Amino acid sequence: MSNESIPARFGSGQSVIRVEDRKLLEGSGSFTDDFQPDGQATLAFVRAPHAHARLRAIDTRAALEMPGVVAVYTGADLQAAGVKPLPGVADGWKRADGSPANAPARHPLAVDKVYFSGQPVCAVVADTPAIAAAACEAVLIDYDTLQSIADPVSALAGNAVRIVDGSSDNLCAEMRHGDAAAADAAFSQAAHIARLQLVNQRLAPSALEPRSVLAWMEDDRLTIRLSSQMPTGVRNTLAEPVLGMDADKIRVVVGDVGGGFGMKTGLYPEDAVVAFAARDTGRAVKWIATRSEELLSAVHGRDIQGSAEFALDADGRVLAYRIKTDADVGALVNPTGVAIQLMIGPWVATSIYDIPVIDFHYRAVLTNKAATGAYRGAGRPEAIYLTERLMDEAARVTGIDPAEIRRRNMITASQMPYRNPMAQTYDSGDFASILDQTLALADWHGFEARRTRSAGQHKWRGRGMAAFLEWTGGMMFEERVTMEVQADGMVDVMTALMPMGQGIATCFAQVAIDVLGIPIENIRISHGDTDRANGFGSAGSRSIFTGGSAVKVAAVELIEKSRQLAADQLECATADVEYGDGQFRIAGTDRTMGLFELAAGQPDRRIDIDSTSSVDDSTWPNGCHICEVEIDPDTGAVQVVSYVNVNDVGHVVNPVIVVGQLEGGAVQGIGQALQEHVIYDEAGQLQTGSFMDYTMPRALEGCVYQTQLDQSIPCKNNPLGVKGVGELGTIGATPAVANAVIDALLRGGADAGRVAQLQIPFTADKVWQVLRG
Amino acid sequence: MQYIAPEKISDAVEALSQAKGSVHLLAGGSDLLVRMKGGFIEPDVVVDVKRIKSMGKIKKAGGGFSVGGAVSCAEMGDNDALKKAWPGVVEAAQLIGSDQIQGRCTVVGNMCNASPAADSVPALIAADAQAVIQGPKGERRISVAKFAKGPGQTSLKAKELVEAVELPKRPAKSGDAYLRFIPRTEMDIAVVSAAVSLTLGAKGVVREARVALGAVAPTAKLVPAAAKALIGSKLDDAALEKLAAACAAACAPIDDKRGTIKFRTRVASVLGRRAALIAYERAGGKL
Repeated sequence: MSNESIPARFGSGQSVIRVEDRKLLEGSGSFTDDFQPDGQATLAFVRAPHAHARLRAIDTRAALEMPGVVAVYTGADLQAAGVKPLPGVADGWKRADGSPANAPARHPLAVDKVYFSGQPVCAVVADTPAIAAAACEAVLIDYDTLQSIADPVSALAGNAVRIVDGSSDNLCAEMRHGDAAAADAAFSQAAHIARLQLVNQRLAPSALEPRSVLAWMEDDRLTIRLSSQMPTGVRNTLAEPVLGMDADKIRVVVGDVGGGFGMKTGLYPEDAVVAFAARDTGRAVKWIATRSEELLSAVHGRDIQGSAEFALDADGRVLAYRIKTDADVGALVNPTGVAIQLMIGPWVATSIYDIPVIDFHYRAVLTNKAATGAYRGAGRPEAIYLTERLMDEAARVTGIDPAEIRRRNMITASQMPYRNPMAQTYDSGDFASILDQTLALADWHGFEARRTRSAGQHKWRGRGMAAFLEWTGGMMFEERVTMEVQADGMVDVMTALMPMGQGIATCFAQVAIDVLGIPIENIRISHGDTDRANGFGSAGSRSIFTGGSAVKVAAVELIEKSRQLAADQLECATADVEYGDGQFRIAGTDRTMGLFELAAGQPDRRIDIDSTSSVDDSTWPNGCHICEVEIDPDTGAVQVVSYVNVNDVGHVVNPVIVVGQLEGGAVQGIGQALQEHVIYDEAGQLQTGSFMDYTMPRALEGCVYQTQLDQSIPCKNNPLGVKGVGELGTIGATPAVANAVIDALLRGGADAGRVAQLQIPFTADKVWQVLRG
Repeated sequence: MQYIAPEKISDAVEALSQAKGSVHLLAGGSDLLVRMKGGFIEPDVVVDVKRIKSMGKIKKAGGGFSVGGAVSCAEMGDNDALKKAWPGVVEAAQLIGSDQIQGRCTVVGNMCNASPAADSVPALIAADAQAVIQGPKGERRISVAKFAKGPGQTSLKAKELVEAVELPKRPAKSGDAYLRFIPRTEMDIAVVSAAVSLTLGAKGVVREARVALGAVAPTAKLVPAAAKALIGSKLDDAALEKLAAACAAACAPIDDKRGTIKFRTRVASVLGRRAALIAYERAGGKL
């Protein structure tokens, strides 16, 4: 038995083993598809085979006559039943002339037109999956195909077919930030200009568990069990806006979630159809997406291209930063997808650098592709990729070492709090110190010897760096936590934060233990039920700094309340009651009472607290990631051989979980740099509809990571001093790896003009094309 | 659908002869079951060969080996004698799918599936392996190099099945190797592959050689000109250059999102060269 106190063993700062894992490893998790209610019916979708077409006629008669078919729905059926489109982009976003953003209505099932291949057109409800699949085949749909648009360049051509009938062009929305005239002046005086044309390709988030929805009615209430990061958001969007129901007539329940990465943050058209079908048929109705349905119709991530340029003085200081990009947001635009590209990315575009002038111009362009939305990083990977690729280009243009040119431009610790040109205020950060630690850990100056060694094995070695920060939050800082001490020895904690595999329950338990001082076995964290807790949910790396902070506040309030109750029991003044390790004690005496004993003595045998609190602002985690790669010049194959990263995520609640987030995130970033790519052909047909062709990274694509955490710079905006960590690894890895590949190619003697044309993912085939010369 | 699981080869041939409609053989099932589940085929009859004892064994035969049609790739990897004699064949078999798949899949199935990108087939061709075929007219043998006729098409006649694949007796100072290029580090289908089998004579000079390429033509193919480039050499640069040129010349690949024609052609030469060097070392050659 250890002599250490309970908080020292289980509290924050300790690598406590995850409380979630045992159940998952034993196969007793509770994912949506684990629930098989009696009489459950299966729902399957008939999806559009064309990227752009008018619906002429739908004949569902043959399908309806098949034995075992319960119902067949078309978009017109749903419309007639009063189902409305999902909220669109027109409310929050504008075009250049100030008119509302332009996009087709997001009907849950297509009405009049289909806008991307894979769009749900009809839904079949049947007794079994086999009958549902057969009935989908029997639905006859007559299409008039239209010219389809598969990329933003052809979307903006003057003669392009209009995706929204009658509109003047295919622009959805746009935004400008900064001071164009000041930027022009800076560029005209610049000693150097660094300029790049970059593509950030389309990606598929690819959670292990596909979207899964089960809905049923109980009396006049609709219950939906699904795999989601935002149960309350799903309920609120579904209720009044789509189904025309009061929110209190809908209960959303979420069990275990097999990964989300942002793509499970809102209501999908399919979710609304399943909910409607349950209400309409009175059956429990389930839809489990196939992997191909996920690749076709779940939101995609990234897909933005354009130019970025620095005006630099003779010493390599950035005088102005100009960005002009077009984001391909698909046709049935997801408002989050636009926010990510037009606003969230720009917030961090100047990153850790003290850049006085910006001129940013972002456009969201309609195409006949699936909508883009949140995907791990959501806007920050796009912004940091531009900035960090450009910083390396600036180093080449000026002849200054890449680490040195970054250092010269960095915001210093003494400038904190620092307000960036997008009016975002960083509370803390010591970027030069993080850079120095990483340079030492990576043996930056010993690179030449390693390069020589690689050359001896006929390999081209290169190194790349990304020094950066990101924003976390979701702009929703308030959280409600209920906490109950039960007489049977458990403390129940209920929150609206929604784990998707990150280990949130473990971390929240650790934060509670810091205050309560009881063993981790005595804490039960619950979530995922809109009848019990509502809030923003988990997205934007917000869970620990908002939810964890709220758990701490609730625990403190619980002990305050309990001290008063204990004082009554112990017949002393509240001020004389001390608390520690689960025991109340009259100060200076041996008279004690246990927390659970106290609960047992209460009229309803429990002590509870209902606490709502808010943190002050976002967090700004940051890091420096240095990667080394080897290229096989005969095949173009790239291997990551070293990945060193030092990160400032403030105080750390669970180091193993945090390192796992960083390294797992880095694998996702490496996937983007080297192999992942959602590809559509010119007709708007998806070419990467399975994992055969959509190449997810595997453990062996990475290497042994060296990951360090600098905990000396706590966040000042929340009581835990923590900074979000869920997306940091992904954001840093893509530019670090890409910079290393570019460095290896240029050092190896590849043609600089060809290298400049190369766009991620840097597949062997593409790298080899550059080398072929 | 009718499922038959005979215990003797003769019964399997009989079952194939009697079967009406579309009939498919089942060994590991790693291709067949996937196609059935995907709705691509709906067999009327499935003949499972795993209960036929002779097809489940690796036997020493004629100084070489006979690998039964129901022997899993994992079992091949567990057979030390086979691994020692034919390391290239075994490493090719063990590149197919994952550990779980390897517990089921067979090299005979890989051969009968007749994919141009089949991993084990170039290695079997380089090894000069023979397929032992049973049918209503008795037994016949055919070189694995001639077994596939095109993507998904074999030279099996109606009512025939492959009982085993035979690897010849291995002379001293022999070695083989198989390499493939994939877009990931594991569990993927070859974009290009190359197998080389060598036997050395005196002073490390190559006496015999066979070179085969995969995924660069409608079937995996033997490349005699590449072999010729190596024979009589000690794998000096000139010989390797000739080998590489012969490999490139033998390529007639497709252009798709997994690899362009030029890339596949180039990588075929690179892999041919690298496989030759590994095979040479395994044969005891010193460079």
